[in-house]
Amino acid sequence: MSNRSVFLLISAAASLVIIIAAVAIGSVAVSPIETISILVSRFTGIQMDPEIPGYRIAIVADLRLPRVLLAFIAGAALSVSGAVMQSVLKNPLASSFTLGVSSGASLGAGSVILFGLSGALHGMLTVPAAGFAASVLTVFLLLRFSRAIDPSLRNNTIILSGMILSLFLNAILTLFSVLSTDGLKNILSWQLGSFALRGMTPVYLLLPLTAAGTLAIFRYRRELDILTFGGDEAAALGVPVRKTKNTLVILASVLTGCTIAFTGVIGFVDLAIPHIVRRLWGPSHRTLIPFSFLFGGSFMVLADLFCRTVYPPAELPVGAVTALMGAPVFAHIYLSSRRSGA
Amino acid sequence: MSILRIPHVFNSHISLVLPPLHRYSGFMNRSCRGFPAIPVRLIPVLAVLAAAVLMAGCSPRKESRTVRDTLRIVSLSPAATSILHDLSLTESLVGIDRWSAPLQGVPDGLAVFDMINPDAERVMALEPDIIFVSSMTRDATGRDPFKPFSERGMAVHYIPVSDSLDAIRRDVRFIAEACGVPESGESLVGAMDATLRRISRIVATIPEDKRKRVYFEIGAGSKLYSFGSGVYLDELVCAAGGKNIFAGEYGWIAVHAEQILARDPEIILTNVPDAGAAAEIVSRPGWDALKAVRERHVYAIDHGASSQPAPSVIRALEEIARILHPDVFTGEEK
Repeated sequence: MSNRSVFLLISAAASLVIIIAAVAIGSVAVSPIETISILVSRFTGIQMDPEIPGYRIAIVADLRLPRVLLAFIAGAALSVSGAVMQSVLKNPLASSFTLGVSSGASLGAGSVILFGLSGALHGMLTVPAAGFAASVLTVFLLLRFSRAIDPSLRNNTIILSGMILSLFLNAILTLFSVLSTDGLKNILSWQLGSFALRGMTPVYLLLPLTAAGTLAIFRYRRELDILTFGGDEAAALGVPVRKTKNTLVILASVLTGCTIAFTGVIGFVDLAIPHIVRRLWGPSHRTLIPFSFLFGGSFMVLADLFCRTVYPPAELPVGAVTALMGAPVFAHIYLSSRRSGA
Repeated sequence: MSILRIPHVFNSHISLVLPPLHRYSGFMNRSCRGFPAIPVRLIPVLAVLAAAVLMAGCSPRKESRTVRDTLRIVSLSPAATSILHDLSLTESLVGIDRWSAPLQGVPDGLAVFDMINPDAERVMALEPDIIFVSSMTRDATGRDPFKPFSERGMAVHYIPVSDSLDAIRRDVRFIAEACGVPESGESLVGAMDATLRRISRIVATIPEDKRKRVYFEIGAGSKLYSFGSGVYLDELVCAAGGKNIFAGEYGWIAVHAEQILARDPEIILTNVPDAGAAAEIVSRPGWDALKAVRERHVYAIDHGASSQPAPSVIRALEEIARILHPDVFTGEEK
């Protein structure tokens, strides 16, 4: 077995341990043995210890488990998406966020929150649906706009167009929220991101979506390797550059779009995790994609665990904590491997 | 037992009209032209997605719970907390949201939660029978965030942020019924209406030209907030025999100082929860051009009574009526 496969197996096992540990820890104490027996009975249907009070079963199975799983999936999806954007656009700071995907999603979800549509359509997934639709629309707008000014779709054109679009969409949302007093707090809390009280529905929806999206991206791993050399070299090697770029940008945006539609905007993970993985295992997408998936997921689970346990009963916004925890780690890894002459 | 009921959402004034689909089809065709067709290797991915959407409907089991003698209520809606107080049910409260904590008559020592991001585990550990949740909490997520609670047999009720006296009456009746005391709800609504009738009888004798122009400030700072019609506070100002200077606007609004100066209110009311709120308004540069400021008709209104859509607003109404027409209402109250 190659080094890479061993590390991948170890990382997968570590991710599983982190997930189970995060389900066992929370603001209400449930012992690890109780947690495991609740989880086992949840997944296998085997009758557990009847002594466990019902509320603890509900806390572990209905409140924590969906939350931890959603955090893992979101972290994984955002990191993979970030890795793709950085490689495709050959820019270490490129991400779905700088391309305006999150601004689009915020505007879509924010409009629904502000104009009270979610009350009228109660019971449906109005806010996530609007967020997702708006983020997809944003990417299409972005690509169309970029192509209109630069038919060869150069990276700088896409990145600059994304920034313009992002600023423009943010301005619209700011205007909307100034005109309304009561929706402001809701928009703010949506923009800060959270995994709480989402239930299993987003997990059932996002798990296959993220798995499928990551697999689809993994099938483009060779094209991704070649694209990082630059457009001309890739074209010389027979890669249909424009088409591949288009497909990958859309795939990565959809991964981000559907994730933040459910969780709200959570930044930094998509930027930092792929860089950390590249520093540790090199830039080949055969390692970058799967390790970004596992690292991103585990990191997000830990960040969320920190949010909900460090200062109960208040919950910290997970978006702030990802940056708070991630920035020093990122700086350390980036700088130390620099010094060692990488 | 009904586990989940959503009051008012369906009989509110929102009508949903969807235009026919074909109206969009032309637009879709135009905007999609020139975009890449879906690559063949993504087709299996799309198939998995379709399966995922079908799978998302799975829902876990329901449980029955043991019945206790005493009711345990968690209120994550300040309006509901205020109504529970008026229904004399505060001793059943085991947990409240942060905005409910300073309200009149709320006992100390209860578990306090954030309204938008409550610590759900701790709510669950309190094992309440009934949970009142502000619709704001739901709107921030757009679903039924408290489903794990209703699945355990707890009654979860989403309480709208009501904006009219009529809606307040409905909320009172709904909460009273949810707590098994419908007759208390009826008598509370009856008491509300009796006071309203008494005041409007007196106000009816005041001639139209004696109704004063009122500016009611609900938020100060870098932006000023007030309200137009369609807000219960506007109904109160009107019922107390005043004229809201922003009655031509609708809903909760941000206003500009210039608009206030142009409308020259004779009375300024503020329910900003700050002891110096009225003095701060008087001290604003340029505001001494206003009749209300020159004649020192700037008054603070009880924040607790007026800020939540609950029967307590009737106390605010009496307060406003006394300020607007001191000659008619002085010594009139019990």
